Amino acid sequence: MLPVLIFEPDEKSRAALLNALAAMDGQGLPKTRVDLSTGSFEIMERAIREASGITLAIVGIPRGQSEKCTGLGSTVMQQNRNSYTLFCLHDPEDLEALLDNCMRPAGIVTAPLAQASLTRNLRRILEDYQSTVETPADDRCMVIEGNGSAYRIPYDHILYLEALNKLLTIHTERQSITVRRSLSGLEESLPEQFLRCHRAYVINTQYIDRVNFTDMMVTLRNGDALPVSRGQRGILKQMVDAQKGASL
Amino acid sequence: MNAETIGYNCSRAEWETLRLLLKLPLPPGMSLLELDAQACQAAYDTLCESGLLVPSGDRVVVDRLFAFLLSELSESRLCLRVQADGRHLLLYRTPRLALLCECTLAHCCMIPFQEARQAEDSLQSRLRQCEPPVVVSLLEEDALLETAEAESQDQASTIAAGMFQRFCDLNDKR
Repeated sequence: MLPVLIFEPDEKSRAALLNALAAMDGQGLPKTRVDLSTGSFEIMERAIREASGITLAIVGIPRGQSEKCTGLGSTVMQQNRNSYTLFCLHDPEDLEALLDNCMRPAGIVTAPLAQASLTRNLRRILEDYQSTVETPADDRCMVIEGNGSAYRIPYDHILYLEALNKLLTIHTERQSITVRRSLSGLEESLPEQFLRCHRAYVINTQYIDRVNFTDMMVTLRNGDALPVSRGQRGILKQMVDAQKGASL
Repeated sequence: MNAETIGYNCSRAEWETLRLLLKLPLPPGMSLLELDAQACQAAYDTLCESGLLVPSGDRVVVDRLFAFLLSELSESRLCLRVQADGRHLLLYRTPRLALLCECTLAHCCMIPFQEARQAEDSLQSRLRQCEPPVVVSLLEEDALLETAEAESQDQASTIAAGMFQRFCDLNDKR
């Protein structure tokens, strides 16, 4: 389900966008969910700031307002690099300013909005979203969905995984994402750089700063200190020794 | 996999630096982290490296999500606080959402919820990571409304559940 935010001051164009989105249903593509359809720039700006998962933002650009409106596209990308911005240009003269200011638009359509052009652009975006999210996680990324949004987390960005009761938290440097899943169920699918140091923790060995075998604690580069169980002590020691050997 | 919650992480020094840059007051229950110029500069540098701060001329632009979360926190008046050795859990009802902050000496994780009541499971599961004795308190601005100390995890869980209920009731009234 791809969340959609629409900012389009022109009511007719807004209706055309909603119709085009509705018409995409049942075409074997990921479904969309319109979270916002507004003519207010401020409401759209706030909604974009609050959306952190992959989102489709459709931004109408009234005559002479390309700089202000393309700024919304940049905000979308700052929130999530995998998000999409589709611009609806009301004056072709603003195209150059749009291209000068915007960051990776997913598509540009011009008003009056033609159904065929809208469908083509939406199809391309939804196909890309499908390949990004609905295909299983590949060997470099983990895909997590939540609150109608999807997150693609490169394994290299994961510091460690933490199990507590039936919840599993995936810690990256800037996010901690909690999912209802067991650690053992996920452990097998993790790449080799991950190592279980304790029944409740799997660490990304790339981020080990130091291991204290007296206190049985491993400290990661971000300062987090995690326990090491006795059973895992040997494996961790072997790995640390091998790394020391490799760096000599 | 479906996400239950998503938390946003920064170091305590980064959190304090962002708060100072945004000129926001300290929310209730949060202890002040004294930062010297060197620590502040180090936090500033790591924030810039990760893109949470972007220098722009003689000003800096703070990441909108972090700025939003911190400004929401600064507007909260009521706080449910769990204090254990090395770990603090602080639950706030802010104007637009509820925020659970999990703070250690080094880090702060801010977990947003639409409603305060949705935070109970997260609060309870994190409470189980707290080594007793655990002090659970309810604060309004700087005033302590209620406090209790638990000597075991079960006791802490029961006390926190009761105080969480009162926290929600007080929120509903205000």
